[in-house]
Amino acid sequence: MTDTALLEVRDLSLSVKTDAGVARILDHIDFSIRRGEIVGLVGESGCGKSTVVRVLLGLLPKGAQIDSGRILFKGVDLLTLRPKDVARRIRGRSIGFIPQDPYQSFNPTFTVGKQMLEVLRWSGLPDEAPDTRWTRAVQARHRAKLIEMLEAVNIADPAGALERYPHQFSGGQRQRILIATVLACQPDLLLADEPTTALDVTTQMQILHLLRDLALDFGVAVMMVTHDFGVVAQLCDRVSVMYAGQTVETGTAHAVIHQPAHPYTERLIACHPDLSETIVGIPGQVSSPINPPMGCRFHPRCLIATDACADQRPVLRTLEGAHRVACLMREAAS
Amino acid sequence: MLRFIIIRLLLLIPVLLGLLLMTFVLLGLAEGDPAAAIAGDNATPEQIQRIREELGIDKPVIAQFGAYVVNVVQGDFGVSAYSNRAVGADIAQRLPATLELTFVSLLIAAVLGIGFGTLAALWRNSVFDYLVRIVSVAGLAMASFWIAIMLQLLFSMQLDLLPLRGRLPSGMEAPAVLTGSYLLDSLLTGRIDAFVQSLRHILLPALTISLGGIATIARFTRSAVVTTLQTEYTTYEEAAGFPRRRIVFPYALRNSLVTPVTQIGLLFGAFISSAVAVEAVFDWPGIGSYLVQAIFNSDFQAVLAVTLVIGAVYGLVNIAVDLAHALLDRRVAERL
Amino acid sequence: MLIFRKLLQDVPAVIGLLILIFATLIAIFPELLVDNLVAANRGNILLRLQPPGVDHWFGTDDLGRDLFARVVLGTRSAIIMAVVVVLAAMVIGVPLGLVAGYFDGVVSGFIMRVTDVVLAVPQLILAIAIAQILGKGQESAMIALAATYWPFFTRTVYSEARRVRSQLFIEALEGLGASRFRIMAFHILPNVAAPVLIRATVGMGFTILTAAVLGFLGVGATPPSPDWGLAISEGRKYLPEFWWYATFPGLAILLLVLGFNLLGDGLRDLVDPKLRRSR
Repeated sequence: MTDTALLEVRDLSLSVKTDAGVARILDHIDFSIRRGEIVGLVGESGCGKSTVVRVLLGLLPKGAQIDSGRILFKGVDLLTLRPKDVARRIRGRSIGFIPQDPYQSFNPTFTVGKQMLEVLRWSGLPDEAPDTRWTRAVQARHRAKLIEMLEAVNIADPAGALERYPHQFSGGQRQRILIATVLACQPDLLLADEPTTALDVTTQMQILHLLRDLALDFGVAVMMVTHDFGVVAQLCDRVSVMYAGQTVETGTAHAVIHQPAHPYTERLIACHPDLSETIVGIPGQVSSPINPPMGCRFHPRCLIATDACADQRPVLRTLEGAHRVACLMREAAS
Repeated sequence: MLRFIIIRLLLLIPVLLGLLLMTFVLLGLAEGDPAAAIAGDNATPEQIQRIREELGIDKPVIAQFGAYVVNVVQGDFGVSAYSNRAVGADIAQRLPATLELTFVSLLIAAVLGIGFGTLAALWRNSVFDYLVRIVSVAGLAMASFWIAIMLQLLFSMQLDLLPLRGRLPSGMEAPAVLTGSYLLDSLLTGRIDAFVQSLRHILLPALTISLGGIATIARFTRSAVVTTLQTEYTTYEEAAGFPRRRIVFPYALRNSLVTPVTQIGLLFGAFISSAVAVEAVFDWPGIGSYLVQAIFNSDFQAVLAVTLVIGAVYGLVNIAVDLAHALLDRRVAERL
Repeated sequence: MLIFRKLLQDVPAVIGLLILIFATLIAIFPELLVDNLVAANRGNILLRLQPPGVDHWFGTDDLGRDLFARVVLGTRSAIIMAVVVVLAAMVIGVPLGLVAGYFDGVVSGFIMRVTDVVLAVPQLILAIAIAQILGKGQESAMIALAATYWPFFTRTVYSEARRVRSQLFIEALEGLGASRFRIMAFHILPNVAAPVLIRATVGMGFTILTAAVLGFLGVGATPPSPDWGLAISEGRKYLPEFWWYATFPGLAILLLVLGFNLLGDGLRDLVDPKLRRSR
């Protein structure tokens, strides 16, 4: 299994110095993504999902420091590369990014074409070497490719669309444009940071299915960051659940949704109207990373926690096949 | 875009008419009864009446105002009671010098202000940032005519580096008039000597006038760049692999320029104001020093004519600024 | 008072406040700094144009008057001008802005058109024209400055009043039958107080600068007033040998205007953090 993995994040911990103290934003994160598969990274807001995305792109937040772990991408540890090389060879080129809010992700003072061609300039088309000069011929080639991709995502009059300004497009159209652009570069891995939360419900599903279909066509692996198990159920092959900076459960989407092993996963799924008959919220909120609770970080909100949970930090243990969970109560049960 | 310009020009008309009305009233207040003044103390009522007819002030006020507007639109601001010269011709002859001075000042203010502001934002909380902050606070607190004198004292009188007054050394022939700007005209006619000299002459007055502008623009640019670098599209650009320098220029910068550019209209007003006293200090032969002379000679006609001309230029500059704003941010153009 | 305590944490604003307190003190009690006030107005031709030294900190002017004493005395006229002009402009501009902002219709349109016309020319230029017609002297300079500064208040109040008027609670009050005057005086006015206060603080600094230009150009204060602008225009004639004459009054302008600007910035930061300097 490991040898076919495109991305392997092992035991990743990261902390940030703030005025209030050192915050452990990521604590022993562990997951992997294979070529061409769609993996969900699920958790409430504030649990560190977006930080994972930033770290994978080599964009550490200010004052952040990696405490432990490895990020193996195509067998190379990204954390050992020089920032310059990550920028030149990885970011945008091998790892693409789709932002959360298409409304805010375009610079309002430039045409869509100018911005998207600039994206292609720095990520390059798949057959171009990293330092290809941005000649007129290359630009024309990029332009043609972009128009072709815009057609594929159903943007009417693609050539004209490039000359227009972002505010002249709807949110759904803007997200299609961003998807078209990132796929034009054919990265190996696509990081989608809650790509549909800013859109209205009917558009959300269209965009998600478009993204899935295109990812399959192009053979691009996707890491889908979301707080919504509905999205996972529809789209993902596998899923990794995060709570307060820790990986609490990973496995195939099917196994995790139908036999959730961690109490937090259970309750997240119970929040979703399509996946659960009775909707129950989770009381309380994600604990602060500055002074996290001792033991299992979820125990203050957990219904089945015992004294041991407040004491001892659970580690990921294999349940069955690839299904792994970090919960003392599960360990005791099996 | 053409529609935008036309609408803005049409909107300027009522404002300028209001301005004309104001100067008309002020002129009336200033002159009292000019017929009586011209006729002298021993004039009979009939003589005064004849002069009134000659001057056209026997007609109703509305008709007088109408005649005034017609005259002004044709560039006829009347004849100065002091010098007996046509005020319009004097102003037309001097306006280019003032425009050259203010536009060069604007250029200096824009280049230095945007440069300092951007660097201060990129090196936030560095020594440079604090320095820019201190200088920009002080720059707005200095009386421009005093700075003019201090610069003159230092660079012209003590160090003898730059000329004390005027547009060119006395005796040097001015370049042929093409645009009215000595800098451009001397370049266009290949008069390198005149170009170097006009540059040396314009440096101190333009720097004086631009000081407040540098401060304002640097300040707005800094805060705009800081804000822009925290937007989501900057994050997206980073994630898409844009190098830092491209994120800053042109992407963050064009966005950040929107606020400072909208300030330039106001700044132009401030520049014209400082130009009055600064021209007087440097003997710059523009309408500022003309205004000062007119004040000195109690020449109301000239004072009000300058007021009107500056109002018109100010209005046009503001339209140009709105146009620049619309070009920088298309959403503005569509709103109108 | 919480606002005041917050302001005291802002070092530049505190510096500005200290400058203003100091300036106000010596404007009221110039004898605190100057032993011999008479020397400020009566010259001694034998002591003309003395360089700065122990006897005369800032030197003496062309009539042998002590420049330090005159700069100190000039503080009073500068502060009086700033306060009178800004207060007068407020008294005219704020009610007009309230009316124009709260009501719709002809009157409101007329007020804003007049505002546009007055603002169509840079303030200084129009002030020069008016002061010139009113005749030389500090009073006409003050009238001219007030007559050209009120539209800034009208604009500020107008846009704030428009913003507040569109908020729900005003509609609710109207629905409850509150009188329009009450709504304006008790609900809209307090909301526009902060921007007006900031405008007034910065406006005083600005007025000192403009008044100095008027004095310098000879349409403001007349001799023997210790006006700073006037002093610079006199001192200019004695450059470069007698540099102190034109230098010190200009430094005094710088310091006082700096005080107003620093305080104004601090107040603006409290109300509108968008332009915050730190961060």
